[in-house]
Amino acid sequence: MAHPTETSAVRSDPPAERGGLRESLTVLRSSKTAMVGLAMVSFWVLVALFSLVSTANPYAQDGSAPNAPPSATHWLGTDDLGRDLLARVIHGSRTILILSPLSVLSAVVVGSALGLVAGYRGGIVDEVVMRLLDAIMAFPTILLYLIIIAALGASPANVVLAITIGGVPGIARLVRSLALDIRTRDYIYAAELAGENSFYIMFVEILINARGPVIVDSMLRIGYAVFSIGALGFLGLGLPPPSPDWGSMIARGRSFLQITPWAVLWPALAIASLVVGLNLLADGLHEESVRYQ
Amino acid sequence: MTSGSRIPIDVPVVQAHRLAIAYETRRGDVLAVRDMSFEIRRGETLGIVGESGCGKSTVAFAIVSFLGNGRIVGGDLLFQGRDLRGRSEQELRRLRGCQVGMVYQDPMQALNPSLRIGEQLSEVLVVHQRMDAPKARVRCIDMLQRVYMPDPEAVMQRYPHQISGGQQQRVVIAMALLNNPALLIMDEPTTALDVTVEAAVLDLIADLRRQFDTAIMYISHNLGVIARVSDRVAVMYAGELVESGSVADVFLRPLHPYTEGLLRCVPKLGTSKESSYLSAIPGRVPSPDRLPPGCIFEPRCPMARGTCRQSRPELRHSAGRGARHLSRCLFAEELAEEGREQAPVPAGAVCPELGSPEAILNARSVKTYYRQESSSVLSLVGLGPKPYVKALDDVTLHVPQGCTFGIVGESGCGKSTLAKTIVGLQPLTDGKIDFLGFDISVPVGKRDLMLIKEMQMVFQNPDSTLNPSFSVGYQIGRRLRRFGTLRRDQVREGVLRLLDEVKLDERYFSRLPRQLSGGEKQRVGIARAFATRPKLVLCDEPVSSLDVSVQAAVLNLLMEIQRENGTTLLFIAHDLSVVRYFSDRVAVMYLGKICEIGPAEAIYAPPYHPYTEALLSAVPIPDPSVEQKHIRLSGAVPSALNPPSGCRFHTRCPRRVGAICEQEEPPPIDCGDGHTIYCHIAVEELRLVEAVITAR
Repeated sequence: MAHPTETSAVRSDPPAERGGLRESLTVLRSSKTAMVGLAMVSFWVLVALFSLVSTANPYAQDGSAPNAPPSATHWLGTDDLGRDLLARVIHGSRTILILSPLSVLSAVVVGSALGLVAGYRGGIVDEVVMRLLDAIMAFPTILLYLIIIAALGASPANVVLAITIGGVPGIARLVRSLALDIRTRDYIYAAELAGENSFYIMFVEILINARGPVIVDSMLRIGYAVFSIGALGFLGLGLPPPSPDWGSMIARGRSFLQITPWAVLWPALAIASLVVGLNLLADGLHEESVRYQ
Repeated sequence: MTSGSRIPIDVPVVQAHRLAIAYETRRGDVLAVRDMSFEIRRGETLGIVGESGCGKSTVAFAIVSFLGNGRIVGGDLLFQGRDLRGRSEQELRRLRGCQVGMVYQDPMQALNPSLRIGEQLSEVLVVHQRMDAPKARVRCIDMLQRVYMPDPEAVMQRYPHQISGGQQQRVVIAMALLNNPALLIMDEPTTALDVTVEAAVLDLIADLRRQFDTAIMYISHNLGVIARVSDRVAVMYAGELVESGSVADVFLRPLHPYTEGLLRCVPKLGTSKESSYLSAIPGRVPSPDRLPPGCIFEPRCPMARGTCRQSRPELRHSAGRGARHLSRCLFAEELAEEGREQAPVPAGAVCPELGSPEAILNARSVKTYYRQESSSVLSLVGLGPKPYVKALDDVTLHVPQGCTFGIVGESGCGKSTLAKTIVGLQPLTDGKIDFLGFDISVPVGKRDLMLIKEMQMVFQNPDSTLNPSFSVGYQIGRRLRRFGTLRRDQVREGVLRLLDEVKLDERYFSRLPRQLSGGEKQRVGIARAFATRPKLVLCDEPVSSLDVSVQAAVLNLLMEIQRENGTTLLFIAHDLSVVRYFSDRVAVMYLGKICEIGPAEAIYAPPYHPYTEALLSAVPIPDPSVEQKHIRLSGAVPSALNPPSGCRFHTRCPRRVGAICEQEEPPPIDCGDGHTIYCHIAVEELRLVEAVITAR
């Protein structure tokens, strides 16, 4: 494996500035898994964008056709109140595609900061931070969500908060282990010998080299977040009704499962395909990034 | 017992004729080895030497069909007279198990960490020869004895991590020999070992050849090692055999400019920068898919001319040489005639005033202890004893201004700890260090920025010396901005000037570290260290992970920059020849203590400290005409957790005088000219010791 890297540098003039984005696209393209995942995720992103311009009203009730099967007027059928399922699935995608990345992003920010400090500083700081996070980890995730939302009330902001708190310990552990490894590299010593302060060393020199695993981990976490938001919605702790929320749609449709499966089927498929897509994307990225190391 | 004995003696064990091996890649097949011919007979050792990426290991893997995505695409490869291609997987497995033994660089990778040595060894016999367990055990103990393993019965009961690196390699060698193989392939088996351990393993290999009458293929990048173990040498360059012949022929009368170049890249033990010049081979090994049209060495060859570019030269013998000394050079005769012994060019800056009282750095009784985490229950609750690793114990040294101060010693002797303690990356436990008259006994974070600026460091590992995420230009420029050396708008210019000083052009400014070779990364590391024009630069093994041809270039570069800036260098290395070549003053360290210190030429000549003497006699020298004293140290370096009492070297010292060595710390003996030896033996007696290395 050492030789190809050695020789690739020989290739007289590598393009001086190779954009990080284009590079990651090349990595993506070489993995079929990642491409399939990307297609599935992009589909839902497009759907969410479409919801911004769509005129279909997810709240409009068609009294003439409750629990209708797919037809020309209601492509995916209607729910028990005669609301168009297509419009509800489309509008539901918007909330989930905003809330899940947002909650993961905030978890990554908090988790990375804690992990970096614990890993780079070590000693007593490490002990205190990690034991506190262990305490959070001791709760089963769903129970933790329930406690937080029950205490603070069901709202989009509290859903994000709950998922953030649930995600921080795992991310902090990951970043800490990466920081523990990276801080022993010579370039960190070199930075210390340039009199750099620890903030610069942690958040510039170390964090940038921990990005690969953190990105892959975040992809998976967005998938879990989609699940969690769905589960919270199902339990009635997500967005307050009548918002089109995939989880609450399933919960509502469940009562009529024997009459019509459609009201459960579409949101369930939506959650499944988004999560599978995100997982495939993460797997593909991981495989490819490992292969090129 | 094996089929090896059934083959007539005159059939070579391995024979390759115009062998070509290709690797399948995304860009199509790449010919990694071309036109490689060699043979190895019983009881003969063929040394294969060349830089990394020259196809040495590929050839070895081809013999055991472990090529992965590679395959033989041309020529013949015969094992005991039979073609190796087209054999079934089962047949190959039997061949690997019974007829070919392999020993690799890292013994820890070859041994299963969760099985006892005895189980692993006897498995070989039980599986391949269907021997019953008790009988196999007896054979294994016998074999461990033959590889000079102390206390073999006890070793059989141990796990691999419980024995030292040298012993692990002995176990691997014993395992390879258990089936009495016809061929033993050794791929850099001593590269990971310390020089004293390496010497003992090399002795063992030479011994085995006589005892077992096997054919040995010995692969190494180290010319000295090859010279010591081989009968015949094959020099590989970019996948081709460029020269082959007997050791004496190849090393003393090379017929290919590449071989000659390699030999001139390494400093001969005893030469210094005042008396000779290291000539690096310019450029680097071409990748197999971008070979030059004519002679593959032509772009780097000092004697290349027009005809070299036209066609690929054939391997041939030249007039006046034996039929078995072959070279792939059109002008081999010229090389032979000229002798090409170049006039010595003094290369380095000589220490201006040796022994001048002006010391830039003074370390007094420096102690650096690491707390060892003990796993006992008592210490978990904070009640147990707190063991310390005494990485540095009472080290005192003075580095004169403008000098190169070398530090040598085996791994684990505290060289790197010393460097880290001085620059402040490791807090010191006790003692005092002052630099430019300021006390710097505090970690780097608490030092004044102006002092940090004056003391910089060049690191060992080219792969971790640069942050992989930032461009070369940014990383050097950051230094200039940090220390305010230049105005912001001049930083780019300043970086380009620094790059130019380390012989890299401006295209490197925006490159990322992974687009550079090891040598180039090391150059950038040097540029970064010298960016602020420091007074003192610590170099921690700056060349030890580079190929020899690159090594010479980096050493020359360091000397040049040092001369221009008048920098003081603290140069740490385990390679005694390099330290001798490079340094004005040298300190020899053993287990956290200095055992000998003085001017370089005095260290390498009697009187010696017994440890220095042993080190010198262990250095592999790429010159078969040199006679070396045979001193082998027994055992391994003791643990610094519980160092021996008295003189720390007494457990391994071949010149022990008696109980005093165990009881009292050795006093410093002044041998004049700032040369001090810490030993109980009287200086008159030490002076009587003859030199370790003599020309034959």
